[in-house]
Amino acid sequence: MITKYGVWVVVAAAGLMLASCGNSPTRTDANKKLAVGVLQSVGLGPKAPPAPSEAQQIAGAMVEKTGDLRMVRIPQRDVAAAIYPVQRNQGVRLWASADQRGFYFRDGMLVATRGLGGDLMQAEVRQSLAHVTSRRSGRALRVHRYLTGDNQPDLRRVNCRITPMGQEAVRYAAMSAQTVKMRETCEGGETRFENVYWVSASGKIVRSVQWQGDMGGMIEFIDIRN
Amino acid sequence: MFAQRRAIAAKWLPEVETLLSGLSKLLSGTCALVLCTAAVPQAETLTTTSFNMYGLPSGLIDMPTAEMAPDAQFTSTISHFADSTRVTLSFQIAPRLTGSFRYSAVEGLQIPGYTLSSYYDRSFDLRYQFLDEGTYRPAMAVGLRDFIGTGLYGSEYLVATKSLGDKWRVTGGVGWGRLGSANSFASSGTRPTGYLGTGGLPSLDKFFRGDMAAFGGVTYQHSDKLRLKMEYSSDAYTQEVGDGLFTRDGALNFGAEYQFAQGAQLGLYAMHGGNLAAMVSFSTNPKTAPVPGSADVAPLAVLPRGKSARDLGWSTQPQAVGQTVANLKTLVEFEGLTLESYKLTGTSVRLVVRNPRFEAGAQLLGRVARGATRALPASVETITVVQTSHGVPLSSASFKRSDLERYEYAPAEVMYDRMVLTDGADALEGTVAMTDAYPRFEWALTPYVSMSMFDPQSPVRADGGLKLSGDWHIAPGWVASGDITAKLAGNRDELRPATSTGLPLVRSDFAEYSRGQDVAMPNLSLAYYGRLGEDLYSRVTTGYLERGFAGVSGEVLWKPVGSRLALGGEVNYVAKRAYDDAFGLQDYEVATGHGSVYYDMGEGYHVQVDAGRYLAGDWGATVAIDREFANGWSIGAYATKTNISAAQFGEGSFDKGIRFTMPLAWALGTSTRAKTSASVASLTRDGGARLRVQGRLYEQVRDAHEPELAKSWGKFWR
Repeated sequence: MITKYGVWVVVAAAGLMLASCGNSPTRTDANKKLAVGVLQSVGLGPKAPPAPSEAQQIAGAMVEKTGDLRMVRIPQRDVAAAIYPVQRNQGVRLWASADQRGFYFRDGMLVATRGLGGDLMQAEVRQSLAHVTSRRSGRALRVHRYLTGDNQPDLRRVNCRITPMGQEAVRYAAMSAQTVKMRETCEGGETRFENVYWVSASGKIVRSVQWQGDMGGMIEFIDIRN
Repeated sequence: MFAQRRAIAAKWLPEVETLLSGLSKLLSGTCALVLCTAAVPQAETLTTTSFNMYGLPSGLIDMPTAEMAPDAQFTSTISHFADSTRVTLSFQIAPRLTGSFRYSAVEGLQIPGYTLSSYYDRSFDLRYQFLDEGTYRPAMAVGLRDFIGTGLYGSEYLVATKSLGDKWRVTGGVGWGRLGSANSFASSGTRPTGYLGTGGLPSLDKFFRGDMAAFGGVTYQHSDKLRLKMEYSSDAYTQEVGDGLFTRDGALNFGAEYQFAQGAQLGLYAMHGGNLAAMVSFSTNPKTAPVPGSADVAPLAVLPRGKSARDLGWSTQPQAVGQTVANLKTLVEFEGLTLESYKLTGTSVRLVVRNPRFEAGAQLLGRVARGATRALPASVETITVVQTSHGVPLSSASFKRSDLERYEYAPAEVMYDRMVLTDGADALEGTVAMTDAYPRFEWALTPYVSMSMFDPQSPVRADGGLKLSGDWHIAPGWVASGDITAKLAGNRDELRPATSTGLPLVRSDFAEYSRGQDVAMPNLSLAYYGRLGEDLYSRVTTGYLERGFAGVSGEVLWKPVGSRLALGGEVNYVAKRAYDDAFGLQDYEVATGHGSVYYDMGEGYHVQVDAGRYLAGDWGATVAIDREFANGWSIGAYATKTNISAAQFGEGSFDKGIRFTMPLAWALGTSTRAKTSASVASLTRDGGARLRVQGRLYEQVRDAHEPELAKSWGKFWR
């Protein structure tokens, strides 16, 4: 609903803000980010570079990194990126993308994210994990922690039911495995989601679709190498 | 309006979308919130997302209801009817209390002694819901409309609203004043007339006096988007009808409202027999954010130590120490912070850090502490992070490295309980300064806009241009700073000189400073910040302190690190600056200063009282109450009363206004300490005016102290 005249006012204002310069980050950086966003919104300004395709990412990651590699897909955001393990502590393994988004797993089960917005701050998943990796049905309690828009803790407790869905072969890039597909259906308060895991005979989750939270929605993880 | 450009290339968090939803949230509402209120049964206060022509939450058109907006919702509305345009800012101060500020222009209203074609009026409203809705009982509220203005819209009401199922709501009420002016059925005493004057004082003698009339109406929520309304109005619009602004034919009003995706609303109405009216509203809620928890990249992870022996041998090898310090510096800078100095021993490290990035101090502490684990030799067990402002230590937070290792994936509260937070007065003792921390020069060239409002000739005036700022941080505590502005366009200089009130001209002549002056130097000063001891902070600033005054300003603040209470004292001796000569002074000097009490009341409410002598030599006090949010938002109101009479003060009777601050991090979704603030004040007058010196201590100091850290502690591991 911006009129033609209005567009130019917006562009002029954004241009002025973009012209902000200096070495004082608090005074100039925010101005610029705001201006870039405004310009893009009216069809001007820098365009985001096209993301590399999934195949390109796999190829690149396999050359650059040795050891474990995993692909992340967030269909809701049209994102696919390779992640690799960077640190292990207290049984939690941090996997990161090249652009510093962090995914934290306890034996393949997502327990935190960083850098996605609406991040899962921490999750208690031990009961679910025990059932899923032993490929047996059962019930479990999960606790997820988030932050509200006002930085307050937002605790979600959900009751989950884990059921095996039968055998399935998984093949992706340089990985292949015979798995049992496990379904975990969780519900509590306003929160409701359904995770799926493909678990190998050794109890390793080689592929999964897991709920991150309200913002990230369902995220798919799939191992690139065995 | 930005919707078509939303789909962009793959990104973790589409920044543009974030930004735009931030912007549109500024302009509009939060759909999450709308969904929330629709989904959650209203067990407590009865709320609505609908607004009336007066900009208050209401399912009706011109009449009030007992409904509230969702807590903390901040809404601006513009409505137009019968040559009256009303612009209203409403804030849900508490779940049961709504406050509004309104600026109205009525074209063609004949007011004695008023010569302009439009009559401009400011008014304040309050509404309190004192009774919850029950199964059979309606919610009930009491309201005051235009209770400290000139009284053009002055009225009081008692109103009840009951919901019938999900779709229907019925309202009935009784009003006084304007709301008792049509078809009144009774009277409670005599209401004093003569509403026009300087205004600005509560019209207590009018409250609930005079003719009473009944009003009511029905709201039908057809769908999530469409709402239909019908009401019986008790406002006779006596003066508007008398001056021929419209013909009032009957008491019935009808209308429909459409809710847009981002919470913006458009309403169209047929009033009093076919007169058209329209309203738009935009809401936002500081409690929700476009990106909860921010989209900052992942923090560095804790590097757990192995089980190997914790050999202290490294601490005697200068090379090993030098490498450790270089790594620490790199890791601190990786988080967008600056290491100013450090103290490294065999078992502990103290990192003195400047924070240009994180609004939440907890996030800074968590990131610096984790980064440090990646650089420190295994024997170092205590990690202390000292936050500074202008090189002055504000607080000192110590963590055990083994706690960081053990609780990295535990809830954040665990680390809060294990942190030792102390006053930072001695924190710099024995530290080694980084050679590149001081001196340093920071500069920025940015656009600026300065606005003045409520001049009847032109309600909004603005100047815009470029501002060049420079800060030379000479040594810890010492800052020399200057600003130069170049005006590119604007009309603030067209303001007429204020009529004399018998007070010295200290603020009312501000237009003189922009007349014929395209380049100005608002500030050129030298400041020293320091610590006078435990709990005590100090500041001395000298030079051209602000556009209007030059001189010396000294301040002392008492603020224990764990305290919600702070006390301050400020003394200034200043001379009025020349209008057209950047360095010249006028023949007016004054000693001015205040004693201040700051108190964080908890639950997000903050009060500040400043008492002392103002720029015109008048004595008095300013009271400010703000609702503050952990994410950096604050919305509040202030009032200043000094020992000059209301008549001497002029229109408005005393200085008062509302103010708000929005953190840019909230809108952008990535951390920055940049904020934008605005205040809507009465006409600029000479009474109750304070010196606008930069760098007052309280806001700098409290951010690093316990009450503020605790509010956003959830961000420690973010």
